[in-house]
Amino acid sequence: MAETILGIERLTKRFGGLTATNDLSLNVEKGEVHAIIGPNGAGKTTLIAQLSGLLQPDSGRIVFKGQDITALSAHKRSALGLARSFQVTSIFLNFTAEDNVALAVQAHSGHSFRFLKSARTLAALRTPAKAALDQVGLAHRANVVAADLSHGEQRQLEIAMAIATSPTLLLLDEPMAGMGAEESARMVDVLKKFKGTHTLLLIEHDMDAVFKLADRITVLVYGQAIATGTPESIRANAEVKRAYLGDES
Amino acid sequence: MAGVNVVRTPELRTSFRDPRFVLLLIGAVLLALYPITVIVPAPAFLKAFAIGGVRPFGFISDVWGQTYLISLVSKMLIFAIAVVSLDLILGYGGMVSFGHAAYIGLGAYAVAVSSKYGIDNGYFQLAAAIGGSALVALFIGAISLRTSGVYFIMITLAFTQMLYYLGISLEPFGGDDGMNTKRSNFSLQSLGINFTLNDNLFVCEKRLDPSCKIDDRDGSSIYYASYFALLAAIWFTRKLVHSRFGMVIRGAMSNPVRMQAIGFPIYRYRLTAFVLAGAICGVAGFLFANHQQFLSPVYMNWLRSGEIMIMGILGGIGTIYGGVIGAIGLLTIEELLEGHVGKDYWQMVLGPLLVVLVLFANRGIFSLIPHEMRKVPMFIARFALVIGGMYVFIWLMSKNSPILKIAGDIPHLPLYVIFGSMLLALGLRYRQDNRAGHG
Repeated sequence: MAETILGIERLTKRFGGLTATNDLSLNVEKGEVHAIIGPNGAGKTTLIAQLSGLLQPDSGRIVFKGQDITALSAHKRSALGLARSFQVTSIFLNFTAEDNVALAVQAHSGHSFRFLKSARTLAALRTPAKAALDQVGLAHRANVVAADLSHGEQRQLEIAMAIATSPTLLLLDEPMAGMGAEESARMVDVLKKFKGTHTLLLIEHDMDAVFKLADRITVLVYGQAIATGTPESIRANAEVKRAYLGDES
Repeated sequence: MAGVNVVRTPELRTSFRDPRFVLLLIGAVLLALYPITVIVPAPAFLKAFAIGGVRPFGFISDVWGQTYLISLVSKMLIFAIAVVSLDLILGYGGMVSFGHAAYIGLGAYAVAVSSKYGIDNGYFQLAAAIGGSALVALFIGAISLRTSGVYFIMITLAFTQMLYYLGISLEPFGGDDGMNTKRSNFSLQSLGINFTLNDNLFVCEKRLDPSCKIDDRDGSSIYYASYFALLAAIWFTRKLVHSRFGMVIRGAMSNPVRMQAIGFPIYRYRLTAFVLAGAICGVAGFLFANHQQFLSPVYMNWLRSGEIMIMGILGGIGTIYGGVIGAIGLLTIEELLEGHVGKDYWQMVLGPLLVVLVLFANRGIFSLIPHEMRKVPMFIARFALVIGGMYVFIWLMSKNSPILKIAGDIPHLPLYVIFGSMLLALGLRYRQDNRAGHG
């Protein structure tokens, strides 16, 4: 039995009459790529918001590395090693790509009440930033202002910022959102590199990408996990076909 | 997407190939030398040189060695400090504080209150100005920074107005009328340092020294105090915005949600920036009380906050140096207008001038300065055109305007001209935008 990194225990979140997360339990194990799929409105984004600390659940627990983090704020979870990328590209547009990643590194290298030394010359920030950019294949665009990067490159930058902090668990909120086939394939290649070395919780619409990447898949429908298993077992699962593909047609 | 708002002006390089650096260096040297013109006579050719009756250097000989202008430039430098401190939180932290004048007032009260109780010690007063401003900024910031957007503007404005009315009600310190105050004394008898902000460096007064040759007051000690304080404020702010701390507040301006997600508690960083800006502005207040030798609660009025913000926007937010240009520029225009148009309605002329300036330099004057040497001649030509245009405009609005001579005494004439020229400016701007859209 592999070590559990993230345990979600009976999590529930309601918005008025709508139950976005309904008594959900889920385990993410060390080193795996765990994908969460589900039709629109299944509560995927609500789930990731609760995991990263932007939303508080109504009941249930979130356990990360054996510690109950349900009540912790977003930046404290991040400090514990829970990194996330955003569904809508969320980078610092007027910073260069390298500045973006360096800022993420800085967040995890002690406090930033340092007022006089230029942050742009600190090797402690720049070296890991360059390494992370290299990992996602953006090294050649390091000095480009983020606003000038293509959409696909911005998504790659997003991933670089998340891994630059050497997180224990990486939450990826629809990394392929809005991408063309070519960009999407490149992103799959980038994410494949992290397989085995990083633990990923991937929320994604792009089925091709999910079945290529994931070790295990959880299918979420109306806030409930209706199935969890390997890609093959999910593909074969009759309930998933009915709930998921049925909705699509 | 938000990408269209991204400023892509390259950062200032400390190299002689960057015109902005050269310009700032020239400005700094000229400002450093200006008070010396009191004892150095103006070169004769400035006055004599003329082409067809026009003296192109005439304005230089007009401002040469004028002691009242040294005092005016000191005021510009003091305001530049305030604008630089505002730029730190506004341009780099995205905190639109509409109450920045509060710290000018607090710095001034630190001087006046201690002076009233017989403490003229400048070191004490300066420490009190910085400490007091920082403390009040901590209090205001701790509450205000829990809000954002329009609410932040409103709450900072509300706090400053509270301080303003508190100042009005403080009868022991002059209340509404304000009170006179002495200039700070920085003498240290034990070290043999003898220096007050009341000193003249280049001239002497017959009243104090009968052997004096030039009997005047140059106010150069307060001038140089302001000058070096401004240099220090710029140096510190520049260092700050490039430091780790600076990257955090800039990141928090660009994308606060992401900052929290990557692990920054942004509230305390923003609060620290707010306190630092307040403390720097407190120094400006300390200098301003010394400059005016007077304390008035009006220093904290919201109009003053607005004026500081206009200076910043005019010069360019998020550039630091833009604030200096804005402060000097706005106060120069004000002075020119007050002299040429008259005390009654110079502000009505100032309004449209600002509208035009902001329309054409919508990212501030500093952003118009080219960053490549080859674009400099074109810039100088344009700059001369704008200055010339402004001067003609002021002339047309002035008491000896040719319009008045030709048209006689039409009631509300200046109003028609003002709104006419605003329409013209809007039309020009519209054309410019359309062309940009097609290109």
